[in-house]
Amino acid sequence: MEASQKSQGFDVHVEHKDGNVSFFCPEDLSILSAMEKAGLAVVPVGCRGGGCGVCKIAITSGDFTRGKMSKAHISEEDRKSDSVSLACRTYPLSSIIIKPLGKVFKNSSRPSVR
Amino acid sequence: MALTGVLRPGYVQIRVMEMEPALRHYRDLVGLNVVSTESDGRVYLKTFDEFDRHSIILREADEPGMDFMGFKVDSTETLHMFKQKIEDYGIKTETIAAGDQPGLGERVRFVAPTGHNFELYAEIEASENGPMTENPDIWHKPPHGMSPVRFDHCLLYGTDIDGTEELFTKVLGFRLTEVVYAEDGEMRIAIFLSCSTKAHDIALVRHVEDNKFHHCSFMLEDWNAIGHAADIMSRYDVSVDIGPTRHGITRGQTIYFWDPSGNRNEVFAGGYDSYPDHPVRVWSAEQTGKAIFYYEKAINDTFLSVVT
Repeated sequence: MEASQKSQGFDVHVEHKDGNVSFFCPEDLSILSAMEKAGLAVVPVGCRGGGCGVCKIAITSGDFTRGKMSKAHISEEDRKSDSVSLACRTYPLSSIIIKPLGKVFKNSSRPSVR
Repeated sequence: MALTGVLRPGYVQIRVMEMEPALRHYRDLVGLNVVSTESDGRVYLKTFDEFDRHSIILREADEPGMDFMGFKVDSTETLHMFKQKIEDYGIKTETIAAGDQPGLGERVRFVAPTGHNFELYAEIEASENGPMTENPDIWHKPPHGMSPVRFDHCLLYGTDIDGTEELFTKVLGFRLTEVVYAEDGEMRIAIFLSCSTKAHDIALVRHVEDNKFHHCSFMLEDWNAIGHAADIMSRYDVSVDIGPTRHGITRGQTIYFWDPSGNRNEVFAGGYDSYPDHPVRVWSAEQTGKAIFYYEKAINDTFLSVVT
């Protein structure tokens, strides 16, 4: 590979309720990390370590690998189905289409618990 | 002796998904010292300035979070007294024999109303390289990483925080130092409890799920040390939640950040001393932002959502 060539990576297309967006994910960066570097906030950002589950995504199409993720958020079945993942631990191997599933509680929308 | 009963938080066992990255975090960056690695894979660590054998236990698991938090009590008699009091209060206890964990004596374990596992213990081996006691230098060798002085407290999330508060105050002798109320002015959404002169030894926030771990906190020496910790976090690309900033509650200067498995840590310095005769400090719902993050005056989205 020639050094002058654009660095390796893949496009991530996000199907978002406020409109679809795309960004480039360099190889070795997770989808979430690439999104943050692109200055976007279409997927909620949590711990960035596969532990909290707020960056959960559905994967509509595309290939990827993934790192360790909490079983509390991604079950064995989820892993086998290849249809949901955590963006912070998902590394595209092709162009990929994702949809955010996770959410954070805004202070104004604090869940009511007694 | 004025400080009796429960003395302090002594240890916390944290689940991590991969041990090597966890060790790079807790050992190399936070700056804990490894005490031992046991045959079951658990790694025991401590700060440079703790007298007892260990304070942080890392266990590899499929899911991050807290296994249990241990409080040291002043004697074995007190340990047995608390076991009886907890049972009388209506909560089952389990006695774990001495030696089940390295260096640790008999433990009394129970599950609090918020679903968290707590332990009490009286005996633990002294550290081989604890602080000096004769003509004591300030350390054996310069501390590394963020130079934590001690494991200080945990903030835990669960539904019935009133139940856990009552257990800790009525049975274990803790007292409420600070509280945040919901909009109705009656429901407590965050409570801070002390068994010492610290502003808090444990904190609880009301949440939709039980047995959740918000953070474990390491005390640093001062505000300069917080700045140094922030430098380390930027240099080594640690996942930072918020800070450096200050809490209105406890007045502690703070950074929240995450370990590589998504468990939140805090480094903090400062804060007020509390005494049993001090009045409880109270925050109303509309001042919650300032209560949690005094400079931002707003809670960030992750404070309420991101737990393990």
